[in-house]
Amino acid sequence: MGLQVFLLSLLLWLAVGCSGDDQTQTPAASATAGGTQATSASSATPSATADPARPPLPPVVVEVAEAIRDRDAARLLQLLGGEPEPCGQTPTPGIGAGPIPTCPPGSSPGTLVGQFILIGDCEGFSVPAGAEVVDRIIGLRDEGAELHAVVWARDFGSPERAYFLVYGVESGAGRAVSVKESGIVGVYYGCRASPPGLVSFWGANEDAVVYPPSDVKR
Amino acid sequence: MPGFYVYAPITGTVTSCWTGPVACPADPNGCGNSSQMAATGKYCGGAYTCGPCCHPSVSCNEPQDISTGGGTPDIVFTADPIVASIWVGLASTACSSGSGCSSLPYTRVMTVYMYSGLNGIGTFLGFVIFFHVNNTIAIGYYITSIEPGTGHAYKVIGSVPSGSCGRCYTGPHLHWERCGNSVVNSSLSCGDTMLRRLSWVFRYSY
Repeated sequence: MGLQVFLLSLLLWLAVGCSGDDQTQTPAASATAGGTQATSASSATPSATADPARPPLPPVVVEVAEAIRDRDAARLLQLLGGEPEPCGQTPTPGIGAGPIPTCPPGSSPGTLVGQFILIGDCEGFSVPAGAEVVDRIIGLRDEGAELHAVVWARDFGSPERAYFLVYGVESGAGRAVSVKESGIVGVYYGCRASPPGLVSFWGANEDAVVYPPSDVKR
Repeated sequence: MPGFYVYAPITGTVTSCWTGPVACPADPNGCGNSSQMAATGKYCGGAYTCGPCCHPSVSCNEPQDISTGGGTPDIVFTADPIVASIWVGLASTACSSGSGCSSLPYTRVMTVYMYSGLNGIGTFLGFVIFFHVNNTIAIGYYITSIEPGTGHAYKVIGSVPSGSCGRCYTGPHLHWERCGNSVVNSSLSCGDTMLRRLSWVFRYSY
């Protein structure tokens, strides 16, 4: 009886110890309720525990992560996706007005033209998909960027979800690169959030999925 | 002319401030199209490699972004206790049609009118505008409370949203602007830490 009480007490102690507010614990990546994982303020890297319910990352995400890791500018240039913008239309005033591309001859205002990559900090702008974007991404590696997690989440400006590759740089700040099927669509400077802060930022929505960096493999 | 202070509504870091003595470039490559902006502010941060980039003033003057660092805290309107009541108005015009974002709460505009008396009576003291506000309180009059310790008047009016939306909202922050007969605290600059309740940002005269 005494041994049983001791063992029960030990189990309870372990359970309480693991569920406390210890900021150094490693959170488990969640496959379905991303908010549970992503709202953790822990500075730890998301758990590398494999989760069979987590769908595998698409090859393009792995390719982008590898190209960033390897500082492969030529590969990154090939992996730029971007989104077209309406030409010749003056946007309404407000935040994030963006570029006004010139309409090609014969096309009417509002025609979607070009491929643009979003550059974001707290608010954003966009630039044509090209060498400048590659330079920016290589610049993240120059800052010491290491992959912290990948979040599959909704950007509410689009019906399509994106994969946000969240990086931490040497200063402790977070950065991110967003990827869709077409390739790289955005570079984020983090708005002074930490890597876990950015995981929370995108992962707090209920249908987000958080992947540990160990999932980024072929 | 009497005046009063409005304090930081969240704790965080200044990530944009006013133009000050530096003029924003007329055509800032990589900063959006400033010809569409009422530019009385400038962004600061790693994304802006082309020098000072104009930060649009959506409705009033001297927009300020305060980064939360990743959290989604309550937004607490805080002012000197002369502000006995506020009237809250809501709109959804924060984001440009070219921003790729038309979703609430990112487009949310919340106007806070300040009064010296209860329920909008007394002297009209001015107004402040907040952008990207989640979990907003409803349109109407509210009596402010007095915060223990500081003695400031306050009211929780919403919270900072998570998740991004096009070019309009790409990181966790609050964007707010002063309106009317007011000035900004000229000693604040990019990177400064703001403390909710304690850091005064705007001074209003009435």
